[in-house]
Parts: sequence; C-alpha cells; structure tokens
Amino acid sequence: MESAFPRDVLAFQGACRTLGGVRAIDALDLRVSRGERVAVVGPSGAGKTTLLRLAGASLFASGGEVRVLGEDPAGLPAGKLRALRARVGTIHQQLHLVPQASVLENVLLGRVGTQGVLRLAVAPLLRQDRERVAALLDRVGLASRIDERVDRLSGGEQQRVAVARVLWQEPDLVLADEPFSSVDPERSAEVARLLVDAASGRTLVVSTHQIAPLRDLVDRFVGLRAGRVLFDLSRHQLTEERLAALYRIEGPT
Amino acid sequence: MSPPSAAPVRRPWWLRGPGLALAVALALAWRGSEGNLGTLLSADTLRAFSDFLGGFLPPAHSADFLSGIWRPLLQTVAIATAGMALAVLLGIPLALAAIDPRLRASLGGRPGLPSVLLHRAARLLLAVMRSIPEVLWALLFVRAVGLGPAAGVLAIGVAYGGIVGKVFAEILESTPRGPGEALGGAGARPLAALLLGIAPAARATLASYTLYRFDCAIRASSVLGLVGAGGLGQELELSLKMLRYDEAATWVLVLFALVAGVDALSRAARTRLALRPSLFPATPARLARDAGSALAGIAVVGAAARILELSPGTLLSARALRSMGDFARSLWPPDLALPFLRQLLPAAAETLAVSVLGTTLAAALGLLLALVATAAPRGWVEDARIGIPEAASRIAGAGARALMNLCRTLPELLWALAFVLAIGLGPFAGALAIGVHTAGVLGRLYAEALDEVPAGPAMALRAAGAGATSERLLASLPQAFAQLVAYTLYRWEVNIRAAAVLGVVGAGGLGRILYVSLSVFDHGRTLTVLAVVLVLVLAVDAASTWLRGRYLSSPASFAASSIIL
Ligand SMILES: Nc1ncnc2c1ncn2[C@@H]1O[C@H](COP(=O)(O)OP(=O)(O)OP(=O)(O)O)[C@@H](O)[C@H]1O
Ligand SMILES: [Mg+2]
Repeated sequence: MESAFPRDVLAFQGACRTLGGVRAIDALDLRVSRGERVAVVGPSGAGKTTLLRLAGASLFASGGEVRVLGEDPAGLPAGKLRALRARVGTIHQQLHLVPQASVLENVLLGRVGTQGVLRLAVAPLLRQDRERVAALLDRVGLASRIDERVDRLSGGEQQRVAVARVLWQEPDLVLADEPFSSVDPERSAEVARLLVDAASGRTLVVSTHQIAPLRDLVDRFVGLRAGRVLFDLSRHQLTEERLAALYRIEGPT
Repeated sequence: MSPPSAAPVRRPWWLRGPGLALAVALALAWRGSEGNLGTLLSADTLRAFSDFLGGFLPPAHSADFLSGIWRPLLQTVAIATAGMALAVLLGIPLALAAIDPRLRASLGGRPGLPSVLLHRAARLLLAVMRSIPEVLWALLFVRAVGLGPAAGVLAIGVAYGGIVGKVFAEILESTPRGPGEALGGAGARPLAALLLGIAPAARATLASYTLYRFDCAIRASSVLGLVGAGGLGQELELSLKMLRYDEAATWVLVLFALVAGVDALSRAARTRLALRPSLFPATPARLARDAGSALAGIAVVGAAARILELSPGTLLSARALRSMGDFARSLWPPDLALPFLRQLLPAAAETLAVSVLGTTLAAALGLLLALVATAAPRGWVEDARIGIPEAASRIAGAGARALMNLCRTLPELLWALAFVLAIGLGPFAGALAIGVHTAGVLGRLYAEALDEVPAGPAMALRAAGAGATSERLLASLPQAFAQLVAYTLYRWEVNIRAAAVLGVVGAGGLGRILYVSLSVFDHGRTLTVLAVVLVLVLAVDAASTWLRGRYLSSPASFAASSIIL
C-alpha cells in the first residue's frame, strides 16, 4: 500500500488558474506531505478558495502541474477522477448541505463517491449504518438531532454536520474553506478542535482569515496573496510582522 | 409660466416605433381574422347569446341525464391520467438528456461529444413534441391507431411529454446548485449529484407543476372527443349542436369541479412534500407509507388503463406498431406542389392573425377583469364601517374572479364551438374564442401581478385622497406593466398553438386544411401542414423571446412559463 500512496499528498509546481480573466492562482509552488496540517491564509481574493478547489480536483489547472494524491486530475478518465475526488473530503465555506435531507442523510452522503444512489437510499433503514453515523454525530455533539431536517439546525450545528459528513467519508485529504465564517469567535476554537480531530491520521488543509484558533493546532502557515505564495512558514516561524505584511493594503503607486 | 425645457420633446410611447408597429399589427390581425363588429353586435348574434345564457339555467339535472354522464366523465379523467403518466414517463428521461451541459459540468461531469449531441437531439425532440398542439397530435394518432381513447392518451402523452420535459429541465437548471456541486466534488456521478443534491430542492415545484399539467390534461381530454379521441368532448359537442344548453351547462359545471379538485390536490401535495423531514424513509413505518403511496399511484394509472381498455401490450402490439409505422411512412413525401403551397400561405397568415387578435382581446378583457377583481381594498378596513361602494366593489371583485375561472376552465376549442354557433364559421369566431379563454388566464395572472406590487406609491396616492380605481391605474399598473406585457407575450406563444387547431371546428386557419387532408387520406399534404405549423409556432416563440429581451428585462423564463404554458 505504501507505494500507491506518495509522500506528497499535494504537489503544485508553477500552477496557474485563470477565472473570468483573473489569474486567481499564478505560478504557485506548494507541497503538502502526508499527515501534515496546513493553514492557508491571505486577504480576500487571494485565491484561497481556488487553491482548495484545485486541491479537491474539482477544478483543473490552466498551466503548470498539479498532483493530488499522486495523480494529475486533468489527465484522468471520468471514473478514475471520481475515485480520486472520493478520497478528498471538503467542508465548503457555505457548507452546501442538502437542506431537505435529514442530518443522518447528509452525513451518509459523504460516501456518495463510492456508494450508488440505491445503497444511499436504503442506508437510513440499515441498523448498522445508522448506529455508526450516530456514533460520529455523538463525536460532534449532535447525536440527538439525527432524524431532524438539516435546515432546522443553526449555522454552527450545520457546520458540525459537515464535519461529520467528512468523517463518514473517511478521505485521505481533508480540505476546509474558511470554517470559522459561520460561527462566533468564541466557537472558532471549538470548530478548530473538531476539524483537527476529524483530520487526525489524515492530511488537512484549511483556509482562514482567523489565525488565532489554529495557531497551535497546525504545523505550517502558507501566506497567499494575488495567487502567489508570499510565505510558507512553520508555526514557530510565523511572526506578527509577516502576517501584517500579508494583509497590508498596497496603495496606488 | 412654463418651465424652459432643453430636452427634445419625447413623443408618448404609442407614437414611437413599437407603438406604431403594434397598431399596424393589430389592424392587420383584425382584417386577417375577418373581424367584424357588425356581426358581433347584430340582432341575430345577440339573440343567439341570450338564448345561450338563458338556456344554461337551470343546468340539466334529470336523473336520467346525470346517470349518463358518468361513463364519459370517467373516460375523460382516465385519458388525462394515463396520458399524464405517459407524459411523465417520456418527459423525465428527455429532461435529463436536455439539461444544460454546463449544469452537468458543474456537477462534476465532463461533457464529451456524445453527451453534447444527446443534449441537442433531446432539445430538438422536445421542441417538436410540444410545438404541435395536442389536438393535432390527436388527429394524427386517430389516423395512426384508430378512433378511441388510445389516440387521446398518446396525444396527451406526446404533447405534454414535450412540455413537461422542457419545464422539468428548466426547473432543475434554476435550482440552487451548491449542494449538487459539493456532491460532484466528493466523487458522485453527475446523475447522482443531480438526484440527491438538486432534485430535493426542486421536488415541491416539480410535483405542483405536474399536477398543474394534469389539470390542463383534464381540460384537454374534454375536447379530444371532438376529433374522435374519446372522452366527454363528443357528448358536449352534441349537447351544443342540439341546442341543449342546459346539458352543456352541467358538463361545464362538472369540468369546473374536477379542475378545482385537482387544484386542491396540488396544494396539499405541495405542502406535504415541502414538510417531509427526509429524502428517503428513515423508519419501516415511513417506508410502508411511502410504498403505499407509490402503489396507490400505480393503481390509479392501472385503473385508468383498464377503464380505457388499454394496456402497454395492446398499445405496443405488433399490429398497432405496424399501423403506426404505415401511417408514418404514408406521410412521406410531403406535398410541395405550388398550388397547395399558395393555399397554405393565407391559411398560415390567418392563423397568425387569429392568435394576435385573440391575444389582444384577451389582454384588454383580462386587464378589465383584473382591475375589477383587485379594486376592493386589501384586508379589512380599520373602522369596520364598510360603505356601500366598498361592499359593491367586493361583490364585483368576487364576480370578476368567478368569471375568470369560468373563461379559463373551458378550452379554446369549446369556446370556438360556441362562437361558431353564435356568429357563424370563420376566423373571427376563433379569435373571440382565444380572446375569452385567455382573458380568464391573463386576468388571473394580471390580478396576481397587481396584488404583488409594493404598496408605497399606492398608499401615497390614497393619502392624497385618490379612490381605489385611480390608485390602481396610477400606482399599481405602471409598476406591474412590464410583467403584464411579459405574461401577454408568453400567452401569445400558447395561443399560436391554439389558433392552429381551431380550424377543426370551422374557426379558420391551418387546422381546417389539416383536418381535410387527414379526412381524405392525403398524407403528403398533412406533413406539409404540420411543417408549416411547426415553423409558425417556433417563429412566434422566437419573436416573443426577442420582444421580451428587447423591450423588457425578461424574467427567467421558467418562472412565468411554468404557470401558464
Ligand atoms: N468564477 C469566477 N469568475 C471570475 N473570477 C473569479 C471566479 N472565482 C474567483 N474569481 C476571482 O479569483 C480571485 C481569487 O478568488 P478566491 O475565491 O479564490 O479568493 P479567496 O481567497 O477565497 O477570497 P475570500 O477570502 O474572499 O473567500 C478573485 O480575484 C476572484 O474575483
Ligand atoms: Mg474563499
């Protein structure tokens, strides 16, 4: 198994991606190795979401090289591409849960990449699936809400459902896009702990504007600005000055 | 003292390009439909109308008559049910194939050449299916599979399959994509992402649209009898032609009740679906209930098929398929002889004129009804002292709404039959029929649009002492105007299809020629007329879309088309 699993979970080399005429990612180099926990920080429009979409193989580079779990997504046939995507679990900035489905079903949908529609349709009736999902929901503190419709939950509760979905998916790589945007600062630390717990034994890449909740939980901070890497530092090397420089607004010159 | 004005004088809109063009179009449509106020207001016509109205009351209710209406009534509902089942069966796969490839791509698919070609083919097929009106399909199927309800079921299945397929695709395309995209990003197949991530948000709309279509199917199947495709149409025609208006009145009332019943069913289904706590049954009890509902649905369709003595076996038997194949082959080659084409051109122009005049009459009459219907003040007046004028306007409003429902319930073809009896054969009867039926539809849509106008300007006028009517005319109407025009243009697209059919009852246009060519088995001509109908319908659709885009900031097409198409 070791040989099928490369050391680098993500390998970007001179990667570019243009979106609507904007170079959202511009000649970007980045490596993330197995088991690492990396935070991507940067001002709005820096390209964080685009970077995560490239990493999740739902967007392809328009130049340079991107390898996800050792594969080049753009070159894969449809079936292999789906299999690759199934190995990456994403918690989206807007969560994108299915509002009309129950909490249980939303978690079960984590395996939509490997299970057929019929299998998913009967899953709520299977005792084993139900009990396992209930255990996951217990981990995120939602065990009592398993049969509730997900759109009846608060934003923070829905976020925990999204975390449980990724836990159920059991991916090799976990991506989280601004996971603190729908909770108050007090709750951010709790969400960060949940995330890191969900990603234990896996690789985690999380984008954020808020450094504090992740300060002691991730290994590396990657500073992104205008689609390029401005810094790539271990958590001990990250200083206030580097952060200030990243977020400084450049005046017109 | 007049203020100095630097800006050039702007002529009112009705003296500028679009207004003049509209006036010319209306004049041409009036002439083309042989419009004649003299006939309309002649003593004979007025007497015919008063006989008509007088004869309606009281509706026939003898035990003898009532015991005889059950069979045709049941057959009508059965045709609508089986036809709608076929339409959904045809429409769903076509909708899935016709969905915008960009949606497929955003669900994680990678559209290759085959799927793009499939998309194009499905769009084309849907356009042909829905551009030929159901009554024309019924005429064709009567020739292909013989007289009887089978032709009616096939006609509704094909025509409504085309509409359902297009509208389902549009509903899915206009549903929020986030959940589906997320599933695609997690490795789901595009179809799974669509079913699990997008369809759940669309299911209530899809269901209520299907039931709305079922309501249309009941009205349609009530006229298919006129071309020999089963149902109560034949009895109704007989009652009208024998001047037994009281019987006709009973038929109309029954139809009215049926349509209202489906409406109530639709509302109930929508609420139930919207409140479902999950996509799939989570407990055995729920599973049993859902399975029960599904079985009940299948049983209803099965019962409909039994009433009509139809089965997939007989519909798809070797003999039926051979007779359909023979008919399809006999359509080729089309008759392109010059004298025949010369005969078609004026008929096509007549059809177009009827659709334009009919839509215009409907817009005028519909606006009048809508203004009356919405004239009563909304809600209850604070001091609870309702004056006589207010009570009167409430009563008038209720009356206008009832009249709109009556106009809407009877299909154009039945109105045409009535007008042909009252003012004689010809396109003017057709234009009046379209005008009256559509006035009911547009009146309701107009009233809804007027009611939804933000209340600010109206309240300001009220405070300044304006009455209810001037409030409507000065405040609500200008704000809702673009929407009303958009509805009218959508309805014109429906009416060009209706106008192509009216010839069947002698109300002019292409329908007459088609009816004759089918009756004398001159199928080369049939194909030519069908092609002309198709071109005319597609041209009007394109013109309407263009006008909406040019003069109105057109709303997403599905929103309006799903209610009225
Ligand atoms: N679909 C799109 N069409 C056009 N431009 C886009 C599109 N998506 C992203 N962009 C542009 O690409 C750049 C990077 O966007 P991205 O969403 O990756 O930024 P971000 O770092 O996630 O920002 P935020 O912190 O606000 O979420 C921005 O300039 C954005 O305007
Ligand atoms: Mg972002």
